[in-house]
Amino acid sequence: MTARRPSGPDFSLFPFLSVLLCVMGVLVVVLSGQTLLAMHEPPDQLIRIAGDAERSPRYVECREDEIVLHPEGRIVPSARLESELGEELRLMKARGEYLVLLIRPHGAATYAHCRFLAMSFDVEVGKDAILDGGQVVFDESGRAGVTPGGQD
Amino acid sequence: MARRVHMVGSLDSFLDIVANSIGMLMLIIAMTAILNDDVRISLGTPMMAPARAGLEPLRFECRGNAVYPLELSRLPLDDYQVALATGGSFERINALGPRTRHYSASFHRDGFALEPLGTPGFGLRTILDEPEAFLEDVSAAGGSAESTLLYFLVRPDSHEVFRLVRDVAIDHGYAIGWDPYMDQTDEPLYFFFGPGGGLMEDLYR
Repeated sequence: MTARRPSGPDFSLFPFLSVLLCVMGVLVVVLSGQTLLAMHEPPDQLIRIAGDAERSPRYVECREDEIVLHPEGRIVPSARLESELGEELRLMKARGEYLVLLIRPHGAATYAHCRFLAMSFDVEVGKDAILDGGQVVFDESGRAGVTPGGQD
Repeated sequence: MARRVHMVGSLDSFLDIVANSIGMLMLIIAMTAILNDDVRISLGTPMMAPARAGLEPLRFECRGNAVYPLELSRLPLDDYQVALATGGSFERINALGPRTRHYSASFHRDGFALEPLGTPGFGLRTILDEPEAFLEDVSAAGGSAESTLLYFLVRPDSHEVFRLVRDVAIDHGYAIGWDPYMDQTDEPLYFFFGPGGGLMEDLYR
């Protein structure tokens, strides 16, 4: 009596599936980590500027120790406000523009400084409170228009 | 007799994993879509201007992401003015324990301070879900869209609730004024007397 030989080329997907499961596990861990990080990262603040037909606003973001001149994004430390913002205000006055100060939560002191400077250059001021974190994003023209998301 | 060749193994478990993977991907895509939803802010053209004639201010503090009416009309400001003018004692006024619903007040030579009592104000959720509660409080204090300017002192931790309550007030026709208040949340509010500081209004066109 002879032993029965295997009937054919048996194969199993088990090793392949194990590897696949391991890869998925690693991916889930990586993606969960990224998601958690992203949840703690504040979103950008997309600002739609209604604008004014006759007057152009110049947007300046007031942070704790610096300002950001928009839309070019130039950062000016508080220590250089008088010289650099002063020069901007002089040009704004000549062009008939007005200043809109976007105040971050800890930008109150910087706002007060900017407002004082604007008053000394006789430039009109507007202001708004913006939230902490994220970037201030303007539409392409920096003036009136529809946001990229199409919301009014 | 030909032998049959048996293929041992099943694709079922593989298909399960594929289905699970697709499910995970959909979840990830949904999360990504939610997280990428930018905060959209419409500024209009907020311009500061002296408050229009005839507007009386009702003052509020935004602190801890809640709105608190200051209710200065409930304080003995007339007695305080008399004491200032005549060199009278502020201790007599302070001994009466002047307070409003949300603050205790203390009067001094150069101004007065409002110390929070820790009572609940109009929180973010209240303003969002029941804005009429805030508006009724304004009306009860004598406020109306025609004659009242709602003026907010906004602490660094309360920009969110300020933006919300401002939208509610603008929708109901109120004029708005506000200033950022740079001190930390646990500091009392101080009101000093000095030149300047006229009531300003923010014009949203």
